Amino acid sequence: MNAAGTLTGRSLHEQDSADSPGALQDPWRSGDELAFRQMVQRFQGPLLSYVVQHIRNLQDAEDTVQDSFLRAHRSLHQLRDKDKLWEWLKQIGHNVAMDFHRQERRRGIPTDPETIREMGDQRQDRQGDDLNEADPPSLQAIVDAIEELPETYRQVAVYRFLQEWSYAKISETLGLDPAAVRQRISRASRILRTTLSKNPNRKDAQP
Amino acid sequence: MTCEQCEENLQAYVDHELSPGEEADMRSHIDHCAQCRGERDGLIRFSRGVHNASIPFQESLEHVNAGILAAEPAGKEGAVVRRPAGMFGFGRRGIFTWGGLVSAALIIGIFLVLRPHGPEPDRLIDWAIQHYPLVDQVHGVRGDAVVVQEWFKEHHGIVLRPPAKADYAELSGCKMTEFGSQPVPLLRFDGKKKSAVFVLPADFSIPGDIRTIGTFARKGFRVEVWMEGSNSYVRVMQFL
Repeated sequence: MNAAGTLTGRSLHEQDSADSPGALQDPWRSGDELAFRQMVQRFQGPLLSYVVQHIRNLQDAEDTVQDSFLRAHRSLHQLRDKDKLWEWLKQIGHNVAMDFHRQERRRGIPTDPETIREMGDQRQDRQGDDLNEADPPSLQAIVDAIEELPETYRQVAVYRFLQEWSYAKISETLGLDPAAVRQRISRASRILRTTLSKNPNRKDAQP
Repeated sequence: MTCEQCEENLQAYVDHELSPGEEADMRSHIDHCAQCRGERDGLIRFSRGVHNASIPFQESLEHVNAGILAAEPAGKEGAVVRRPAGMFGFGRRGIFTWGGLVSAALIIGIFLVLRPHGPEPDRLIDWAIQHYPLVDQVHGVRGDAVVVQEWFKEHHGIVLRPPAKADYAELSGCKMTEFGSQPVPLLRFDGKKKSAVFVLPADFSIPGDIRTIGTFARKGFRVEVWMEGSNSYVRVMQFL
């Protein structure tokens, strides 16, 4: 594995298809710890953004993402179609999030995303009169808006607006033409601005 | 340039991602177009707001990395490193953590009484070789942060301190590239010279194309930096 491009999803993908199935199925045991780290690097932002939709508390969401990757590492052998790595990770993230909700419910803490969302909306309603165009968007509002973007723009938006990656790095990671990256960021930005301008703090964030 | 073209490139312009020529064209158009100037100003405000809001997200990713990297490699199930629920453990689940805190205090107390003193660099070599077969030469220490600091002060007359943002850019004169969007943490010796505690393979030389492939810092409790150059990679440091 050479130094250049090892962080890219494309090189991970190429490696997936080029190597024997076992190589990615258990990268740590096969001595290729880097493959797992690359997977984490590529998908941690999108997965955190996705999980925040289910667990509307950043702190709990990051624990969930952490658990998800560790669970993914332990069950890589169950991944049948490596082209669906992201969908598989999302499913794991979803399952871990549901486990989290079950545990919290046993403790008597309301964790249902809708309930929390409503609580946030109520708070927001009370603050509504104070909002104006200059209000900066909350993280939760940005994440919500990104997750509502068309699939084509979603990961690009996470990389650019939440992780603040350079265009070149996004292009390299996704194996996309730089012009396409620029175009997607521009369009995602336009949609996000429109969405967030309606209510920059909707679905109030929980710090 | 038309306003439509300007609008298409405005985000890249604000992000400083255009070529010098494109940027000059944009600037020229914006200087003469009040509407696009307004758009630009609005986009700058929007980008600033998004940037500020994204900081906790990026911090969360650092914590995610910390937890994953803290898990034992080689397929062992690792304990997830949990971020404190809030200051002094208060948070949504804070009330449930007090029992754990008391237990932890007891364990720490026992540990402080019974722990071996000194950074034990010799044992670090065994540890590094055991965990990282590629590593056959070790320059490093591992141990309680305070003990390590005292050891360095006593034996080398230098004071180690936890990494600060300003330390991230350079390591022994070697420019470190970003890890995701995160900076690279390292310890720095007081004074102008920057350095770190290394775990390096014997034939490892820092090449120009070195890039960090993994790193995390948790307020000086533990730091590991992975680097890759040519076809090799290296664990650089563990600092507990």
